Parts: sequence; structure tokens; C-alpha cells
Amino acid sequence: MGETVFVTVGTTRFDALVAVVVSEGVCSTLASMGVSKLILQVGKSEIPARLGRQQNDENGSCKLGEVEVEWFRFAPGLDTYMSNSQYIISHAGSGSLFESLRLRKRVVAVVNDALMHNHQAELAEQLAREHAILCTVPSELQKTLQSADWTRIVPLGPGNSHRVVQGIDDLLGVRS
Amino acid sequence: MGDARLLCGAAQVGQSWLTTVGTTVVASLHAIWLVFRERPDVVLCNGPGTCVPIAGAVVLLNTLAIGRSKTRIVYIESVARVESLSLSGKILYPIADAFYVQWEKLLHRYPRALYVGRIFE
Repeated sequence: MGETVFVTVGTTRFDALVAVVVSEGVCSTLASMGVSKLILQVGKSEIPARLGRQQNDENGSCKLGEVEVEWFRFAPGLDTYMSNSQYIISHAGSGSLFESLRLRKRVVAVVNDALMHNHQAELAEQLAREHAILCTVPSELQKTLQSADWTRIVPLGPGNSHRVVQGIDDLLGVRS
Repeated sequence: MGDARLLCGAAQVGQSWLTTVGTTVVASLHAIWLVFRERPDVVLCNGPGTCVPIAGAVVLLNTLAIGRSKTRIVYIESVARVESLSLSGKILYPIADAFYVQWEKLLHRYPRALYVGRIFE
């Protein structure tokens, strides 16, 4: 059984990511990575023509080359989809990225370079600098996947609330 | 441990600017009422718009109610902010008694800030 990739665009739309993920180039790259299943959470994005004619506007499935594709717009929780994948290709939202990292998945953050003043890029780029994730834009996704060296990824350490708690205790003069 | 109080938010993501004025006014009034009624020792703020009316109410309370120990404002900037502050952060930066950031880079531009690293476990 092959690997599964889960793609998430968050609560809004990210047409460029959805379109490039199902493009021939990326699909063949995924297949060569041993991926047999691609699950797309597309939010409000446009459904690309490549996914064929749709039964409805909420979800669908098809096969692109060697890769089985399932897509849906929203789900109450994405935890199960993330847990059951080996790779997560995500918009650069902090919640999505940290959730994926918490689950110890291989993460590619895709920054929406069509957006003005996209501060989301700050976090994705910083996490990439720390080698916790890969960070790219839709037009570079195929190249990023092809040249990915997952052995260089360093798992992100856990957060620590002690320092802020101590700081607040000190401010209030509370002995902890 | 003290009590928590529910406060209506100032604005929703993607809300139009015009209706934001209305909801912010409502939130501000609610915040002023709540802060003056509860007279908290400390108000903990983070991220989106919600906290600005509350912080404003605290400043008002601290100015008007002489002779009581001041309510402190503690602000924790979002973990998503690595190089720049959110709008709420920029507004609260000069006001907060303690301004915490989760990424060290922010200290360059905001030397009053205190770096505490990522806080979510």
C-alpha cells in the first residue's frame, strides 16, 4: 500500500494550490514518491477541470494516473485525515502547520504569493529555516517535492509555557 | 482561581470595515462595563481585535479610579508573528505592563517585548 498525501487550504480559498497539486507534473512526482492516495480539503477553492465532471459541489473522487484522489470542502475536524497521511501539503496558516508538526508528519507549507501583505509567510519561512518543514509557493511545488530531502528535517521541540507563567507571576508578585 | 467572563468579540475575520465599526462599538461598551464591574487585577490579552476595547477600558479605569491598585495588562503575541506584530500587538505594545513574544526576532524591532519562546505545549 502506498503513501497518502493530505492537502489542506484552510477555511478560505487557495485556487492555485488546489490546481497545482492535481496537475500532471505534481501528480507524477507524487507517484514517484510512492504516493497512491491524495486527499484534498479544498475549502472555498475552485474545483479544477482536471478532477473531471463533479456529481456535486461538496466532495468527489477520481483517479489521476496512479494516484487516487478524494476531495471535499470542509470537515468538522481534520485530525483523522492528517493522522492517516504521511505527507501534509498545507496552506501557511499557523494552526494547520503546528497541528501537522504535532502529528510528526512531513510538511510542505505553501505560501499564497497571490495575497498582498501575507504575514503567514513569516511563520512558514521561519519554520523552514529551522528545518522543521519545507516551504514553497504553488509555482514551485513540483520542484520542492522533487528535491526534497526529508532526512534533513528536524522535529520541532515542544513548546513551554513555564517562562510566560513565571513572567506573569513575577509581574503580579505571586510566589509560584 | 478567579472567574472567567464571556465577552463578545470586536470583529470577525473577513468582516466588512463598515460593520466592524458597529461591532467594535458594541464590544467596547461591553468591555468598559465588564472591566468597571469586575475590576480585575490583570487582563490577559492576545491576538485579534477583541482585546483592544478591553485594554482601552482598563486604561480608562486606571485613570479614573484613583487610589486602587492598577489593573495590569499582559499581552501575548500570536505564535504566527515572527518578524512583525499584529495590529492588536502594535496598539498594545506601548500600553501593556508585560508584552510577550514567542519569537526572538521581534525583540530587534520591539525592545520592550519579553521573549518567552513558543508557549503551546
